[in-house]
Amino acid sequence: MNHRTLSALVLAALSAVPLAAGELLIPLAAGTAADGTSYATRVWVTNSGGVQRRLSYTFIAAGTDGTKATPGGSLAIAAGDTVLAKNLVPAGKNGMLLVSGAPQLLIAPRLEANGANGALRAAAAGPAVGGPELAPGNGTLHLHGLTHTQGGLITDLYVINASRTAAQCTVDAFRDNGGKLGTTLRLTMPALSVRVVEKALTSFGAASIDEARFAISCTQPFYAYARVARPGSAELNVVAPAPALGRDVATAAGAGR
Amino acid sequence: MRRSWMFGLWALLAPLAPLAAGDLYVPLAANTALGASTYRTLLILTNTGASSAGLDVTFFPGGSDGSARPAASSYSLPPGTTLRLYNAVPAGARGMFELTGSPSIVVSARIEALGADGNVLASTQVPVISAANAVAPGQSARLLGLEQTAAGAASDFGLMNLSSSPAQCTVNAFRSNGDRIGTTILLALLPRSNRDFPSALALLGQTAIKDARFDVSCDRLFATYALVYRPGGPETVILDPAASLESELVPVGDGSVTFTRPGQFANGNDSTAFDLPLQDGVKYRRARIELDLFIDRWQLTHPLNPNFKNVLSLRRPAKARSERLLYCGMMIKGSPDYRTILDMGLPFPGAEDGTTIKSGTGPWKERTTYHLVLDYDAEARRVVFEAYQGGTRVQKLEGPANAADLFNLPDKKVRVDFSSPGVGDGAYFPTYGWKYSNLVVKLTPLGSSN
Repeated sequence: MNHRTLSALVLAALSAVPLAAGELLIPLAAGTAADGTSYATRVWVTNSGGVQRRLSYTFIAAGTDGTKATPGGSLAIAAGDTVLAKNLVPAGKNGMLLVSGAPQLLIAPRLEANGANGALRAAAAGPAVGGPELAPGNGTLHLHGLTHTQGGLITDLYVINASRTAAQCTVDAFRDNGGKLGTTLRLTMPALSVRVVEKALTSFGAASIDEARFAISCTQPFYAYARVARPGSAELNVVAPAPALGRDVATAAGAGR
Repeated sequence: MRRSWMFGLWALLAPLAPLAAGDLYVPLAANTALGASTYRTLLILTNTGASSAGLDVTFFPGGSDGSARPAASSYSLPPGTTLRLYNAVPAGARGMFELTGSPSIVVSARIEALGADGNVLASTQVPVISAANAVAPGQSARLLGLEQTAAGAASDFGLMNLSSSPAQCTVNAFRSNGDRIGTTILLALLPRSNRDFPSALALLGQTAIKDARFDVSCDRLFATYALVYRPGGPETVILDPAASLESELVPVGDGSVTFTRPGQFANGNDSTAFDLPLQDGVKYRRARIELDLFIDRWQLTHPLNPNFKNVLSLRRPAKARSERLLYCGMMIKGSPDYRTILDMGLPFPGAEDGTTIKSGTGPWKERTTYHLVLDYDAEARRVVFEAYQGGTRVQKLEGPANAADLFNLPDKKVRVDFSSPGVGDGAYFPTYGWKYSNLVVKLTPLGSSN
């Protein structure tokens, strides 16, 4: 075997079998509002390493067991390249992508709203959910600053069970004065799944409300976020869990180095 | 000892003790006019707890030296309520917020664009920087999807030094094909400060580029972000650093919580208490408390008085006596044998007497600093107390623990106390003149191997 062949084989091996592969979940917003505004998620992928890497992906439709989803395939990303990944999911489908690959691969999703004529109306950075973002089982995440108004802002809630075991989740909703809205919403979540609760505040009987809060808890590691949008306008926000005070930022891992 | 004196004293006299504080930072704090619009940053603060909680908000103007700390504004939130802070940035200013306060309070932020009539035209969530997403010194953060076009798309770049020391940072820019844009850029940041670089790609001579990337690193704790937008257009995206495929889908760090108070955090003249930032609903198996204690004078009141000094306690207070829980209280007897006493609370709910663990003659001397370590293992129901002087262990005391339920309840938070707010039964005293410093409390959840 000559040197060139050996190099090619090593390169191919590195490309196909990343060492210490990690995983991320990328929630995908999709669908079309009554006024024709359509939502989609774009995903940037960068290979910060020195050799080609592969990104494997699996689309998990909303409400389905992700451990039974069919693997979608993989993308080759050349060393140093940034690509805007396309066609990773069926058009118009709500759900999430499970991606895996080498730690040199970096992911940045962006949620976009386009008018019926295809023109961009609004955009927001989307969540990429990995270990640092997950809450432990029986923990609580709070989403606040949520709004629902007739013909205006709409809040859709996304709850992700990141475990390969089924989970039970609860969602409680509150007004900005602390008063509880409706009754606790209970969700049975298949393994590795995402549940979308559209116009979620109306599920709690709130037809017109500002600055509401969801408190979400699951029996397995989980994540939650809200999409707050006004179809037809430039209002589009991804509301991530609000961090708590009480922990000095200097306690960040490695901060003392 | 007839009952848990220490617990009773603190529970009765300490409800007004100060709450715990922590730090979050919010970039892009603005209150500025741009054309006919006004951009202002809104802080959204919710007290998720069942009792009132407080916080301090400090605005640091962009580019200023944060070691000269501006005055903070204090707020108190009734339980369950949400406060919207619109006016925390002076008119015309831009910079960053620092927030400290109770772990019951959660925080988010957004920038709103207001029309001339005051109506909200658009809003964008702003990232909140915490210990979970701050970037450690020497590590890299990457911003993806940056662009600059002749049609108007632009990318502003922002950098925050979260340290109390000056920082040196490097930025490397790349095209989508991996080619470098120019050479490494060196940036200096003042202590606890932020800098924004409008149209950063244009500053690098790039006027028509898409899908560019910045790799950022600093020699101090830092955060970075980018704002991708089209002036007058709908697209305004605030980018966090890209996520990496470094971990599996399990919560990072096993949910352990570390609470610190560097430097002197209490004098013994008053009681000082910190609610610990436990995750609600999570059960913890271990609490490890470390601190430095300077013992000043014993201040004996009477030769026959045992002169117990209330040093510290780990407990979960409640309004109802029957719901109060003492995990461990540590006292030093200020009389001839200077023994150490660990008050372990009640062996079972409703028990008449608490249990104690006592040392023989103690090592304690006036005008001396000790390093204390209290390791409470709720799962093994075991407590170990150690005292060090000049790096040498001078006392070790261990024994059974009574309470196993180391977790927050909705309106009852696990807390650490130091000294006490008054004299109990003429024998249990505050530690007048003693100094407490360098507190580190680590709580490890059940199921973790750490």
